[in-house]
Formats: sequence, C-alpha cells, structure tokens
Amino acid sequence: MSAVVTRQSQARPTARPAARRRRWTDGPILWLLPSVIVLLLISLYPQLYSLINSFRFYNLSVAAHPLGFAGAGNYVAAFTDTDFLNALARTTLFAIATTAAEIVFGLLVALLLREKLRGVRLARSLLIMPTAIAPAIAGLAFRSMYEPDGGLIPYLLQKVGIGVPSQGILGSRSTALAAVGLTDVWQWTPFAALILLAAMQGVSVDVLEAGRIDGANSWQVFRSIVLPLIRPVIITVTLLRFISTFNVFDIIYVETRGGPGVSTTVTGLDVYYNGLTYYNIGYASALTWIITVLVAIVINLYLATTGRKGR
Amino acid sequence: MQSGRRRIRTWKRGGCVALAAVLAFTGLSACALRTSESPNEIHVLTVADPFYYALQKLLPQFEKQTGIKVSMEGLDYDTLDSRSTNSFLTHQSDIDVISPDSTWLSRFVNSGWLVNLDSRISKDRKEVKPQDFIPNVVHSGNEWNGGLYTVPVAAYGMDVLYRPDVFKALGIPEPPSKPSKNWTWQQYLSDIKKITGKTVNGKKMYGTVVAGSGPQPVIHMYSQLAASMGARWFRSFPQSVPWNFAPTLDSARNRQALRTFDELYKNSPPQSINYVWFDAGTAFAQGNVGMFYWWTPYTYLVQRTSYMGTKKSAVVGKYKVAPLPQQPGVPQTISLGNYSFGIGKYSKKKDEAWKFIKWASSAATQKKMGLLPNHQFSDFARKSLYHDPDLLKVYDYLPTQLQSLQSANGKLVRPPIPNYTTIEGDYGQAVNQVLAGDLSPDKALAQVESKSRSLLKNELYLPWKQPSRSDTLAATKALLARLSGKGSS
Repeated sequence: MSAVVTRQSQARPTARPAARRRRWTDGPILWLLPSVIVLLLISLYPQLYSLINSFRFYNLSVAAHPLGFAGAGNYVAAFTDTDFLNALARTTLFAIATTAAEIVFGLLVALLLREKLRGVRLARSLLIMPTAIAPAIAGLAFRSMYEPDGGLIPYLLQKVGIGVPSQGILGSRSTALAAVGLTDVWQWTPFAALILLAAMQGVSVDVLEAGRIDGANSWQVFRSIVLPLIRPVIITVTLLRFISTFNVFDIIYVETRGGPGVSTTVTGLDVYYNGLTYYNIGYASALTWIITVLVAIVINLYLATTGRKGR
Repeated sequence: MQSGRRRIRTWKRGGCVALAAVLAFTGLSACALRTSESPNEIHVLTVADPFYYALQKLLPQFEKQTGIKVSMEGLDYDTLDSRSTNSFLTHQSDIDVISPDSTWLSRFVNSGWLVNLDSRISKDRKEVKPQDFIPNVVHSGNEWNGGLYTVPVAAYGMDVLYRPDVFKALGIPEPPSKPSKNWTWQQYLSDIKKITGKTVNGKKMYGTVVAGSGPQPVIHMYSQLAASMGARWFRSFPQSVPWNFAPTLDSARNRQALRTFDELYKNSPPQSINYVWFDAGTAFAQGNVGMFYWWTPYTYLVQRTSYMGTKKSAVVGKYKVAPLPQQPGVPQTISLGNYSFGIGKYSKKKDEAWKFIKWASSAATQKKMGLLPNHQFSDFARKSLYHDPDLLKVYDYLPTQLQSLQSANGKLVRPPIPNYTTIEGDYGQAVNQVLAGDLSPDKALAQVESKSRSLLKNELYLPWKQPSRSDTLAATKALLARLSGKGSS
C-alpha cells in the first residue's frame, strides 16, 4: 500500500508540472455566489418574513403595522375555519384528479407522438402552445367556451345528447370544479406528454428489440420495459404537476372566482382573499405555511412510497 | 497550448458576465433616470371605469395647458386595491394621484396614506367650487373623520332600466318616471315574474338579471335591495354615536330582502349566478331581459354590445330609466359609490397632483368627458352639469339620475368601516351560496352574522373603545359650506 502511494507521489511532478494547489476561487463557487445571494434575498427572506408574520396580529384593516405577537392564534383560527378546511379538501381532490388526468393523457399522447405518423412533427410543435399561454388567458378562453348561450362546449355536448345544467357548466355546483379542472388538464397535458415523450425516446432501442425477440407483444414491452425505465420521469412530472395544481389560482379566479357558492374555492383563492382583499396578513401567512408544509408532507410521502427518496 | 485555449475560454466567459453586468447596470440606471428625466410627470393610479377612458382622451389638453405630463393607469378593482396598498405600505412615491373606492377611504385615511385636502380646497375655492358637488356624493365617498381626502370624478347611484316595448306587449303598466310610494319591490317582483318565460319579438325573455358572482359584485346589487327594505349592517354606525359595531345582518328585514333577491335570481338567466360587473349589463344589452336595477353607469353602458365598445347594442332606443322601487313604511335608502382622486402621502409632486385633480374634477373637463363622440360618460358629481342643455340633449335620463344621487347615502348601504371588505367577503359569498341553493336565506344570514361578530371581536371593533363621530350628511354639507367660505370655521 505504502509502495503504491510512494510511486504515485513520485510520478505526479513529472505528469503535471504546472499543477498548483487549488484555491476556492478556482471552482464554480465564485460564479455561483451572486445567484446564491440573489436567491437568498428574494426567496429565503420573504419566506422567513411570512413565517414571522404568521405569528403576528397583522391586519391592515385594523392598523397599517403589526399589532403584536399572536402566538399560534392564526394557526388555531385556520384549523377551526371550516371554509379553509373545506377549501383544503377541495384543493386536494382537484390536485389529485387533474394531475392523474394529465399524466394518463400525457402518456397516451406521448405514445401517439412516438409513432411515425404523417404530421407528427407539426403536432409536436402545436402541442407546446397551450403550455405557453398564460393560465388567466386559458381561463378566459374556456370561460367563453363554457358560455351557456352559444358556447362551444355546451353546443358540442348537446349535439352528442349530453344535457347541460340550465345555469351553465360553470354555474352549476356539480360541474364547475370539473370544468375548471378540464382547463388545467387541457393546458398542462402537453407538458406531461412532451417530457414523457423525451423520456420514451431515451429508452434504448436494443432493450426494446431484446424484449421483442423474447416474444413480448407491444403492450408487454410498454408495461414491462418502457414504463419501468421512464418511471423516474413520471414521478418527477407528477410531482411538478401536483405542486402546480395544488397552488392553482388564475384559472379559477378568471372562470368562477370560487363560485357558485364555494364549490370552486381552493386554498390559493382563500389565501388571496385573506391576504390581498381582506388584508389579514398574519392569517394569510399562516394559511400559506400550512399549505407549504402539507404539500411538503405529501411530496415526501409520495417519494417514500415510490421508492425514490434518497436516490 | 491547451492551457492557452482554456485561458481564452475563461476570458470569453468573463467577458460575457461583464457584458451582462453592464447591461443590467444600464437597465437599472435607465429606471433610475426615468423620474429624473421627466420632473413634471405625475403617476395616476385608478380603476378602468368609463371615466378613465374619457379622461385619458383629454389628457393631452391638460398636458398642453400645464406642461405636466400625466401617466395614468387604469386597473381592475382588485388590482387597484392591492397595488395601491402594497405601494403605500412600502412607502413608495410612485403614486401621485390615487382613486380609492369609497369603501376603502376609511382604511386609507386611518393608515395615513392620503393627504387631507381641506386647506387646498379652501385656498382654491373659486376654482374648485366645492358647493357645486352633490353633498350626498361627497358624504358617501370623500369625507372621513370630518375632512375631505379625495375629490369626486365619477358618481354612481342606482336606478332601474326597463323595456317599455316588452311591458306594452305583455300588458304590464310601466314603472313611474319619478319616485313613488306605489312603485314597490313587491310590484317589481310581480312585473318580472310576468315577463319571465314569455316570448316577445321572437325572443324568450327573462324578467330580470342579477350580477350574482360572490363576494362581489353580488353584494353591491344585494345591499341596495336590503337597504331599501330597511336592513342595516351594524347597530349604530356611522350616524349615531357612540358607534356600536354589533352586527344586525340577521334581521327580519334582511331575511325578507334575501328571500326577495333569491326570487329575482329565479327570474334571471341561470348563468347569472357567476355574472361579474358588466355581464348583467351585457345580458340586458342583448335584448332578452325585461328590467333590472344596477349602478347608473349602466344606463349608457348597455348601449354597446361590449364594455366601452363601439358596436351599438340591441336595446338602443328601446329602454327607459325609472327610479328604484321602495318598501312600504320604510324610508328609501339608495346606494352611492364614487371614484375620486386623492394625493398619495409619499408623492413628491403633490402640487402637480393637485393641479391635475382640480382639472379632472372641474365642470369644464367633466362636460368635455360627457360630450366625447362615444357618449360613454354621464357620472357627474357636480349639480350644475345635470342642468346643462348640451349634456341633457345626449343623456336625457340625467334628471332621474340626479334624483337618485340626491336621495342616496352610500355610508348607510355599504358602511365604510375599515374592515368593510372582509365582512363584504363573507356576506357576498353567503348571498351567492343562497342563489346556488347551498344555503337557505335564514341560515346564510345567521351564519354571516355569527362570523362577522367573531371577526369584529378579533379585530377590536367589538366592543368599540375608540372615539366615535356622528358622520351625517348635514355635517358634510356644513364642511362643504366652510370650504366654500360660506360657513363658520
């Protein structure tokens, strides 16, 4: 062992004559430092500030400055606020349903785009377009398509014999949440499809060929080879979409503003109203932290159950 | 050789970073220079209501007269509130002139974000002519704690729009042109029930239309009906002293009002449960609604197919204006909202801002705004303009509108307690839930009252330990007289 060390240390001066001791400034640290500082300032500081506010009695309707320490008062109020708890349940349902739909449809679209069909390149280019639209604009477009008088969607549904509620799709408690969910699915399925397509294209042809030689049919190849190989990507896309749909705001604000009644009031809207309409900064900060912690718990549970944590 | 290449690459990278830094610095410098380049530029933040569009067209005249450049931004209601609040909270000087909604005034004044205009108005009384303003408008939206903090540029009352041809076709007597004790909410409801479902001129009619989206605008529409039927929000605010903010929302009169409003919705297009501000106007403009009540700007807005559009709607020349119905035995209370200009506390150009406010609120400018070719502004806050022959020629409904404004009191219909928006939020959402069938009117009001009570306790309004001030129309009239140099100081 010591002989090897001696040999290496003897050989080094001849192999790398210009080598010198690396200073910390030689590495990427210096280049990354400005970004790190900016990130700390614009991300960590507001988060810490909102955490502090969540323990304060800070309501602009009462005074333009915080009125003192409220202890866990804002958190207790949140957990006894049935409106918030109902919004939380509604948001969870919305996030799970839309994320699942986007992944399933995304996978199907990706499979279709993988085929060598005529016009598939054009389809891929067009597919990215909904993702590039601002969610508020997508919401406005769907709001007009849902119009009971002359809107495209009620018209098509009626043509195929499906009845539409008299108060409109967005005006009925039974259909409003699903309708705003559809907007989200329409906008973000292409995102899932394109990422999953890229992952599928990364699967080695040799592996697929080997599967076929072993007698596997297309479904078996997909289920037993493709799906396991792209699983990490599916998990990542699912996480990204879950976080995004859990924080949904724009499309609901534009399409229903949380109505009819409270049937589409999600936590994002609840935080918005409490913070930026009612100006209860302390309470809105507490709601934000509750949501953040809950999302973090859900993500970690998901990663743990899919066996990806720690890799 | 290889280390030389590496050095060149490092230099290239360094150059790119340096270039980016220079560009960023140049951009920041440009931003910093923006204010110093135009010392006479003022920033006006307001709502994109019709007065904004009219004023925008006349700005070059002001700029030519005074040499002051005006950058005016028209925002939606919620954005105006949040942007101005954020700006004032962080002590920014980017707002020289601001137009808070009448219900935000108390919060803005209590927070010290607006400049008291009493001395400026008094000093320029010949130019401002404070006594020309309709006192009800000033009382409802410009006065707080005995001082004036804003000057009105657009005043909104409430009136009824109806289709005489529809009434005639169905044999229903038309509403009166002047306030009448026989013109009641019961009559209004009965009339719209007769219209709903009938076909007139080939169109299937709805009796009325509501703006049902919660929390706003439904509460703006509903609170008018409730106030007219005698319902109030608090035990004693703002007229009687001492103030007592114990909520009185779960009252017999309010329950009756909410049942009536639910009936109105049942005679409206079902999708109106989600209607926001102009949607109700658009529905009437399409020609299949018999009658509805709403803010007075809709008297002219319904003449277009879209908000501030140019295409004429189906109801041009086919509708009339009537006063609001009344509740027997209850003194009529009409809602009043206004948009007004005030000077931001942190503005560094307060004198220029004041010049702009005087110009925008003057009778001459307001008349020009009303006579612009599109004819989409008649929300005058000055009495003299309601008797102007040129304006009467274009807007023949001005006498009815003046009647509405002169008998209105916005502080009773939507009391400007600083946390009004929070209570309005719960109240509006509950009203919307009634329309959606989620709650009965009785249950909804019991729920709102209980929530408001606990909110008012938490936010230190119950019990009220601060000073109270009798905030009456008479006090505002006295203030206007004093500022005009006619009353005692």
